[in-house]
Amino acid sequence: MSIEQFDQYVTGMFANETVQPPAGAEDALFQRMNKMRKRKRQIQAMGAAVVICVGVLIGAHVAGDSQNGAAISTDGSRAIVPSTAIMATDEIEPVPQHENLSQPTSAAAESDLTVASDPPPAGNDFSNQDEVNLEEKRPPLHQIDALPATTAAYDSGERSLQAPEEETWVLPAVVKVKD
Amino acid sequence: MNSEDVDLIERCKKGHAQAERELYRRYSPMMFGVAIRYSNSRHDAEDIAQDAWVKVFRYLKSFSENNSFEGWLRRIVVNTAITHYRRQKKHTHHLDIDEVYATPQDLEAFTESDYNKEEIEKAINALPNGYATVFKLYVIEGFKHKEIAETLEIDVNTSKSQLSRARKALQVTLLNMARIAKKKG
Repeated sequence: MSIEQFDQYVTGMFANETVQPPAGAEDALFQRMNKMRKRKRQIQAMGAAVVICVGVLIGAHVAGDSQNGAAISTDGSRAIVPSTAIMATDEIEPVPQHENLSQPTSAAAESDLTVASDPPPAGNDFSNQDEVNLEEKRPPLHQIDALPATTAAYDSGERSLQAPEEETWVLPAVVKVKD
Repeated sequence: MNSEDVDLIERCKKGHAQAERELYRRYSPMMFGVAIRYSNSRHDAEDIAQDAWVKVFRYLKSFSENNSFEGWLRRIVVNTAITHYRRQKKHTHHLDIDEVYATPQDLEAFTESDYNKEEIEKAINALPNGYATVFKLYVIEGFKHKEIAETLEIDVNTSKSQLSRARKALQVTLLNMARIAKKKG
């Protein structure tokens, strides 16, 4: 008999072999299963209870901290500013005036950019547009009249010093004129 | 796998207690037969079978209907039995028959009609545990050497050599049994 024949012989002997288990085996198995499942459910319930307790404790701790913070701030022993107060001050704080100028400044910058982007004028000739711009930049006459009187008096005095002596200048520095 | 089994397994997966009992009654004789094959006593076989069924119901959700359910059950029992065997390994004693080899004359003299199932079973159980386990897994359960190696945590070549030695030892044992029977007769 070859090895293969021997193997087949043995395989055929044990194929579909069944042995009836003892009578109490079924009940013993399912009792064990029920106990295991009950224990599993208890462990799951305990785990859920622990998670809930931890959550409640953490919530209570956080709530207690916030209440303590408010009480101390009213006593003045600790300077704790609630976030809502910070928000309120932010809202009350006036907007700086230079922010109001941002729009014209940006407009001016835009105009400068447009000027810069224009092709440069040929030579040193002033165009009519340049004259118009100079006119716009020049202060109006009523503003010159409103200058302080001391400046006007100084100008008039300086002119009076120059008038009688044609070659003598009254200046902080000494000027010597040859010839 | 037939449609009845598929339906039964689906109901078991949903946790129906009656379906679990029905599944147990349908497959427990096969499971217990395998358990007895890999245990030293009927009491051990009961423990192995019960542990195996607990595993079956625990991992049934992971079973795919595309596979053989009976093969899956058989594998669970075998693995449970091997785990059980490893726990009791220190307390077992077996004969060392590494030096027993069958000669070609022995193999030729062996004829299948000489032995019945009980005698073959007795001869297999007389083998060292390592040989017997590999022989049963390969010849009776239909495992491949790779599967045996994974199950027993041994090398594939070790599985092959143990099977070869197991066959020879088994045939020698059977011939000896036949000689003793002849003398008695």
